[in-house]
Amino acid sequence: MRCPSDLALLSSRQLLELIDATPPELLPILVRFLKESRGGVRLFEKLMGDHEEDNRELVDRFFNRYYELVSEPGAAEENPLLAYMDPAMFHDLALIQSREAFFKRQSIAHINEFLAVHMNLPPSFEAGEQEQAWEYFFHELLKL
Amino acid sequence: MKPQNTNEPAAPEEQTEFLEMEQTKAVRHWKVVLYNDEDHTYDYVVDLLVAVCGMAKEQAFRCAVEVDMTGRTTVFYGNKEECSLRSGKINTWGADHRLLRSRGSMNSCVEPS
Repeated sequence: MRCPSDLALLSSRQLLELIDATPPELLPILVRFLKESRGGVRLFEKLMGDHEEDNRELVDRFFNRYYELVSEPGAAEENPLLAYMDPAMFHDLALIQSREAFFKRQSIAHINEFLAVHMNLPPSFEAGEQEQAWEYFFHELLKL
Repeated sequence: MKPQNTNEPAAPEEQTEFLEMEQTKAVRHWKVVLYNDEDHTYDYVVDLLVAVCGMAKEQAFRCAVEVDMTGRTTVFYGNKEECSLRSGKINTWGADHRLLRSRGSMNSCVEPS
């Protein structure tokens, strides 16, 4: 194999076996090569084992390994607003506005906690008051 | 093998089966197609598809890889109203909070299946 496009010449089984033998640290690089090979739909079908039952174990193993590598470690107990909306962003109103949907999807407990950390004596919002909480937060940022 | 005779009326259970198949086809006659961009992470796509399309995380991740590699992936089948509802939610889900450069939603559309 000399270039990424050569990967597209492998059969589904050969490709999955190559992936299976690839160490975890190199797996994202291999997937990038696959993407660059421009194999498109046909290549993805190969990654799905061409839907052959014999390939299912290899397919499952690839997707499980790759998911573990590229997904963020779970932080279920963490407040996503505190984790991702840093005060350094507060001066960029366009950026903050682009986070409106994300803000409103959070639980009211997380929203109240976030406001308590970053705002001066904020009101406590009730369940279902995400819209009002957002209005309050954005209005306060306009005063900064 | 039963000889084929188009003049022979179908048995009631065959008629029911045929009607059910036709109804299923009508119900799943539309699909939601999600399009790739470089401003959203795999985690965003997984969260989105779990929340909006009711997928399991594993299935959602496969869709995330597919959209990344091929440029598009089908994320939902259903009638036109169900598909429009889901596509609308995808198109207004908002930016990926994990990426500073992300400022908007991903794009999807409803197509005949």
